[in-house]
Amino acid sequence: MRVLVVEDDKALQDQLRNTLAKKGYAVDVANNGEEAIYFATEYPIDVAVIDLGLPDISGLDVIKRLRAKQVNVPILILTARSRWEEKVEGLEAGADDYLVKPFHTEELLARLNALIRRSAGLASATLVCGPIQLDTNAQQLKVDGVAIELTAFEYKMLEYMMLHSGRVISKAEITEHIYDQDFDRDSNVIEVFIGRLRKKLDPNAHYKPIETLRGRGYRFSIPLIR
Amino acid sequence: MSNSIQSRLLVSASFIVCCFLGLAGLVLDRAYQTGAQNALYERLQIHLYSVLAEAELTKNHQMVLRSALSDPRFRQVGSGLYVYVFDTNGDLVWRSSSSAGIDAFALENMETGVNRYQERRLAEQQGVELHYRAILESNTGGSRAFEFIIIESSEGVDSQISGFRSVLWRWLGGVGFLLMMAQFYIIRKSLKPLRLIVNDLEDIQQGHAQQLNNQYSDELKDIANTLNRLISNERSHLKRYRDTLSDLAHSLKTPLSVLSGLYTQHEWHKEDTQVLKIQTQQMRQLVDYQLQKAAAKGHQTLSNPLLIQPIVKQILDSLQKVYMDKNLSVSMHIDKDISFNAERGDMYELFGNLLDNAFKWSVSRVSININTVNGTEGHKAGLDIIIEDDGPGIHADELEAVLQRGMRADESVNGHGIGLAVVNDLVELYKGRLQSSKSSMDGQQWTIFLPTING
Repeated sequence: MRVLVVEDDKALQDQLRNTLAKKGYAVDVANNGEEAIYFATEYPIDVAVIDLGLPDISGLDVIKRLRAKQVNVPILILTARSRWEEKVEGLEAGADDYLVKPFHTEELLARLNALIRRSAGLASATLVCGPIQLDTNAQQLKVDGVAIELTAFEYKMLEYMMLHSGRVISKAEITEHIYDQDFDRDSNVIEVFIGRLRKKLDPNAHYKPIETLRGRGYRFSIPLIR
Repeated sequence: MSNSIQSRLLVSASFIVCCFLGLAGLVLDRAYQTGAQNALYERLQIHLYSVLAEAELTKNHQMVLRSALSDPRFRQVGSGLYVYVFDTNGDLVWRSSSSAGIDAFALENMETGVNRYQERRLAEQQGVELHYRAILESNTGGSRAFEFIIIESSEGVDSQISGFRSVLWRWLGGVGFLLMMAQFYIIRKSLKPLRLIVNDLEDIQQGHAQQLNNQYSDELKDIANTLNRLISNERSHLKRYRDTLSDLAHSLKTPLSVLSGLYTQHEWHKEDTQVLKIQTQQMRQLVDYQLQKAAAKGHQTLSNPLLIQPIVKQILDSLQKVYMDKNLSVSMHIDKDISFNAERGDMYELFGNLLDNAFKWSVSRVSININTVNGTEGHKAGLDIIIEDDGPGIHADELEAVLQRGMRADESVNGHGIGLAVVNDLVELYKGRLQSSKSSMDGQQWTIFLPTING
């Protein structure tokens, strides 16, 4: 999942970047409103975390402008202002949830997770495709009830594919949503990960959850239970 | 003496009026008395002349009266008008027939041609006697000195004076009373601007007014202007403090977020992260609670009454967005035109926190009902707010801890932030009542009454 973090405080920015990256997000960081609008319109982000107190354009205006540009990614507001009037204002401007500073990292992760699920039309935190169950809060995979370890990258990839099951996903799309900007797009890393995932999900080649469509990309073939 | 300007003015002005009228009365009384006395002296003088005009010295040096004295009172006994004539040896030569029973005596060392008046006591009344020594000459050229004494009772004068006196004091009393009334009226009227300014200041204190707006008298205009400046200074000070406090608190939040993020670091010692966690949580709650408390403003009658329904609607819409996953059925029964005198932000806090709590804990349903209560005897007018959910509810044992959260800043009750403590404070600020009970949906029910303030 590609997340845009809009935060002007350097320390918090670094921390968010590290925490989110560790949890398998591809993180873009914007220091101000203009940058935020640029990133949100030019990059295929899945979710945005926007601090309301930005130096140039207020976070509220950033959200309004993004919504006016039909950028419909879920937006989580970060705000130091905990007054309800401000929260309501933010939600009315087009944000989907708010988090008042200071916050627990777990809470931020849970909210982001929920927003991503919600934008995919899911109510539960666990993605279920046939025998494959992915708990997005605990980041745990179970196949036929058996827990299976995943690396962060594997997890990200699986989550993205399950959320978009039934749809053809190009290699470029996977790259965009899972890696930061500086990723070498020509490498065959994606193919390697897909191979590993296939082995972990279906060691006996029984379900064949991930199809390869030559020249077009991949498709997660088991439908997601909504 | 009382401390009010009005009573001071009244007492001192009354004192002056009394002194002035008393003194004027005394002077008038004395003047009248002197006038009456002088008139009496003059009358005595006239009587003396009429006697002298009739007195004649015979050849054998005896004094006789040529004819009877014209005033009939000289002949009537006890009439109050008497004449005596003594020779230089002090022997009585002649007396008027009215003088029976009343004696008079010649004075020693009388000079000729000089009036000497004397008060004296007659039988039952006060009188004045005039002594005059005159030298009578006979046709034959002989002469002899006699002392004439005219006595007149001053009874008439006295009654005249006392009559005058009673009229005088009655009039002065009346005038004094009128003056006092006029003075009271004038003082009340002159001090009215002061009373006005005091009332206006009370209005400001109670939040009914922002500034002294009335047109005051010229003398008070400066004071009013100064007071207005003082008030607005005070207000901007307060605002600055509030803003500074709020800025300080808000600017602490970002570093606190960074600190909070640190205790997920796995390479740290478990005890260390625990300490860090507890401390940052406490700081966070303290900051939040004090901020909310500082921001709460209370009743404001100056602002137009606030429509409640749109605010609640807005909050419900927002919360439905946030708790979209829960797919709650929300019912709201609020008349569109229900309004309440309150600060906007306070109402957002009140409904925001209560509804957020209801949304957070409910399983499938949340309801909010607001009704206006008309004031009756024994019951104040105000708003009745009932918020219900079908969640687990708050146990009576936990209630106190939940409502006092901010003060204790502990984490003993999980799942409830400082929100309900903020609500509790707000209800107190608005002098309302907050009750927790089991809802008809088997969950939590909050019943809140917020009284309308008078005026």
